[in-house]
Amino acid sequence: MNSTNLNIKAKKANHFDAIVIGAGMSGSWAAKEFCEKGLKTLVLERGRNIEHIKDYTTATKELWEFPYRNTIHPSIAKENPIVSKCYAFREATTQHFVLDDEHPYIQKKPFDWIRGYQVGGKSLMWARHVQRWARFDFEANSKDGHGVDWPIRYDDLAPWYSHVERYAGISGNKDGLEAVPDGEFLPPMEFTDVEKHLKKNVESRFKDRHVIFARVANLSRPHNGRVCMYRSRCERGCPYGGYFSANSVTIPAAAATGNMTLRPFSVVQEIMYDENHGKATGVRVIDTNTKEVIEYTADVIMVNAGAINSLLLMMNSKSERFPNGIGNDSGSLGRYLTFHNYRIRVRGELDGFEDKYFFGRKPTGLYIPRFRNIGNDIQKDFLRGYSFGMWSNRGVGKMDPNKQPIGSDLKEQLSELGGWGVGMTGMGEVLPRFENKVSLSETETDQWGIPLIEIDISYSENEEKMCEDIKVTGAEILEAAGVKNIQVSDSNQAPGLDIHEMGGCQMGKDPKTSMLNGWNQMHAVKNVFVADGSAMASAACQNPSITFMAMTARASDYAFKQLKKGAL
Amino acid sequence: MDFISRKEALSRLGLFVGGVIFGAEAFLSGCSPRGTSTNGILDNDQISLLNDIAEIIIPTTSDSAGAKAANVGDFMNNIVSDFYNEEEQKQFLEGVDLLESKNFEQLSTQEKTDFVLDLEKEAGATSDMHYYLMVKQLTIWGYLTSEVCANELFINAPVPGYYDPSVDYKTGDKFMFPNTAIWEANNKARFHSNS
Repeated sequence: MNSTNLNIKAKKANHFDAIVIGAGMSGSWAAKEFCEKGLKTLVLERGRNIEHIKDYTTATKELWEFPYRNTIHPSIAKENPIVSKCYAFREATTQHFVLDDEHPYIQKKPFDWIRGYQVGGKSLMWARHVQRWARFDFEANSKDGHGVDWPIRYDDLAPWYSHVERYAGISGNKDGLEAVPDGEFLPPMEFTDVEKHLKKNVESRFKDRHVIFARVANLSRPHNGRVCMYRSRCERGCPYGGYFSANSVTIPAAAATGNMTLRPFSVVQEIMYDENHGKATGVRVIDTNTKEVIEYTADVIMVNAGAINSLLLMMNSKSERFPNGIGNDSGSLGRYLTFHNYRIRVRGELDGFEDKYFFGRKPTGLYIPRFRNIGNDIQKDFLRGYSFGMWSNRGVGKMDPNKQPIGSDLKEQLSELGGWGVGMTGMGEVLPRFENKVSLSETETDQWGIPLIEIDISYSENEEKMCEDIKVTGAEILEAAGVKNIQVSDSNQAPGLDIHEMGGCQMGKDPKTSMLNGWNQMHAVKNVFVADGSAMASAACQNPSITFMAMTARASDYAFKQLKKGAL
Repeated sequence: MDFISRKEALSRLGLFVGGVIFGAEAFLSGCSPRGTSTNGILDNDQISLLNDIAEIIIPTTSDSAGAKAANVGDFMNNIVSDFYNEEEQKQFLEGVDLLESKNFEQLSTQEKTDFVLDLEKEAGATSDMHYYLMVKQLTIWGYLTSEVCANELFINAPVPGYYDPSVDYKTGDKFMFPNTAIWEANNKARFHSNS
């Protein structure tokens, strides 16, 4: 891996075949694909570098090695009310998250923007669920008229899902379900006795509701020298490479080619546009250490800065030709943002199985794929659908009021297993709506002089109606599973905490209503490609990262071929 | 995704003793807690006294060392100093003063046990905050996240290396130290429950 010598100002030294903006979940795939095809590639990352293994500073620490036993200090929580809401933000992982004042933004409506500014981005701390999107997900906009029609269908992406799955390593079972197509899977991790019970009971009660093992980017078998050790400390960075992260998989692959120049501490201020040639010439970068402004040029540019930051960059890339942001002839840039509705939770207690437990910490759980508004299930109250993430665990500590509250009696109670708990979180698709938007502040800028982003995103009536249905089906699924004392709750969490922001630079067939064509290529600027979450024309209800990765690999392949044909 | 029912697990474990979550107040009320750089507000004698009381709450038994070996007094110092607000600190310190005045360390084990059982009753009889609940809560939290406990009360397996989905269990069996799934999540919920 080669860090650019900052003193080299000569234009030649600052020219690359390709520039990739963002070294995270999706950008790292562009880096790998381009570098392996022989393109000299500059990979820009606004945060620091995190090298696999070497920089995982907390990965092997035990609870007692943290002064507060892995609890966030109240003053950190108080100063960082946004990031502190994230389930993965802990004493062991604070170094992987962006603190609230590091990069401010304006909430026109409440929006919890959870970020990771480093090589690897959020791929270091993600939840690793990788369900493929369904055939019907790419047809949804066309069918109900919300958002613009996707210019691609499932079959266009299927080989690229396979491509990234084979290399990343995905554990899962081939379940043969329309809602989550099968892929290239390593064997699934195994069901506990309780999980088997849940599957059997739910599936015998509901023919169309399936309880499957969530497909995850954790390795159930050794794969390219990596394997999951069942520690369940993924978010700290895994020294065994047990799960896919850019740091452990794609960035090292790109580096191994000798074609990658990785440049951390590089905030991209704008994409430069040349009106005479009708294409982008490169990027203007601010070195966050030296404050130096440096221009890099390239024949092709891939934007993978994470959805909202990609939008910020494109909106800030203004020229006479594009006064409202590069490629924005349609006025759709920053519109149709979408996300996932994770508000509804259901949980309860399961009697029995007192003689069963497990060993090892399985870094994932069960999944109930979407069953609403597909097949014969037609809902009158809402469009699209939702899935459930499902967990089960056994409480530690079995308190007995007949025993002494102190002494060996207490110790005994604390060291016994209690009953089983089962719970689910609904994961709902949010409609792409023109009203959900981001824009640039006209008055406020960040420490680099770049306008702050204003986020104006909310739930709509469709999501509220869907919440009501999730409460009902969630409770009836748990009931069918024999779960007692069922509690249903609405977290009322703001958009953003799902950490699945998407859209704003959506793909579409018509340049009048969309930014990108079916190859993630800007309609109006042929050598700029955008393939992170911002390119999504709809959200589906599956965790989206695997789709970003597949799309980026596909776009990179196309960009390379076009470049070789001289078509860019 | 939520892995467990956090509040429930806490309550089972006695961490929500009396329904009060000490320390959370600092975060919720906007009082700024002390910095993290000093040695804390308890002196060595007080830490030693707290270790003695904690040992009565969670004693050494035939198969595992107790709270004193886990040095939960030191952990209490970290949390009381850095997480508790001024009012909570004041109450905690008044409690420690009271215990010091009783010459707790001079008592026999039976006398210590009776003394702590009396405190249990006293704390249970009032709906107000009681310093004993703070001590007990911190004892349980500190012990169950300690190296001693992981190695002796449970099977410590930081790198399990494999997953066995079905292990037979009967009361009294040792099982895998539940470090990540239970404690990390719970302690987060404990201090940020209203966020």
